Amino acid sequence: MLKIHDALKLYALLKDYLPDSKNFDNYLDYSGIIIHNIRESSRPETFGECLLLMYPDEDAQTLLDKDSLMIIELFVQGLVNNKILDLVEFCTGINYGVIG
Amino acid sequence: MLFRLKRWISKKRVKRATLKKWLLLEELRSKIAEDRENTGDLICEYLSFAICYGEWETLDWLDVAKEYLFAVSVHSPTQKYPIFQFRPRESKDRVEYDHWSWYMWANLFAKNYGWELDKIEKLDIDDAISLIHEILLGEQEDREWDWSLSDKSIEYNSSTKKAKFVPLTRPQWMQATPEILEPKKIKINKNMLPAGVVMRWNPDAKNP
Repeated sequence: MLKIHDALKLYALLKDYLPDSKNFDNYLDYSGIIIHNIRESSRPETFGECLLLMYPDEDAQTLLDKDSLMIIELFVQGLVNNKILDLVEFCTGINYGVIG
Repeated sequence: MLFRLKRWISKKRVKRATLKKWLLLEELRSKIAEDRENTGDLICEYLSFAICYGEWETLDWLDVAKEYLFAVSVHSPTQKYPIFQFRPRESKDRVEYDHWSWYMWANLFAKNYGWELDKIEKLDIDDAISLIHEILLGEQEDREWDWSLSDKSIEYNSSTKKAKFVPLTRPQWMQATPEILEPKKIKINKNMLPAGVVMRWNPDAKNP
């Protein structure tokens, strides 16, 4: 699991692509919407930035060499491991990223 | 391992902060919300001050979050005070510096009760907030009295040739919350009612 500094960075990267967490209790559905939102956005590189953040020990090239399904699986697994729903609740609770 | 043990013991022994510590913790909390660049460091600083000094940044974020929420719940007033329900207007004239709120509160207590700083900093949070309420209400009453004696409190309407008292505006938190009145029952003339038999819905009736 990420440490506090990196977890906040992950939230900051994903903030614009997050659906309302109140409507979800399932990590898979929630992650699916995030992936969809990033893909539809003008900044798809967020996907790669999140992966590098969630897997700091993995080399960028090693990650890129994996097939697309495997990358999506890694991304979802990363969000699940880092308890993204709890992270969103915590960050909104402390008003992180509301200003600035 | 050692830090884990230290945290466990500190959590068991943690006591609710007294006034000065609480004000400093609240200052940190507002910085956490405002300073996006250093939020992580500020959360760790808050925990070091609120629970125990340690390497909080080495823990998983979820543990840090749980400890942070625990610390906030311990070091909080036990009831909701009207003074905190409204955000004060930003004032450009006000000069703020580090630990400004502590000195502002200390000044109010010292001025009104003649207490020493040592005594003020050890006040219970709830006692301190309630006393601040009373001090601010008293000051407002004094201002209202002075206002009522001044010319500005009377507004003359030249068209009706009558003078009217204009009360001094109170801060939002001192204003009584408006009472929600039940709608008045209005009688309607029979000739304005729709023609035919008016059926009223009765959920208890067998054949509604």
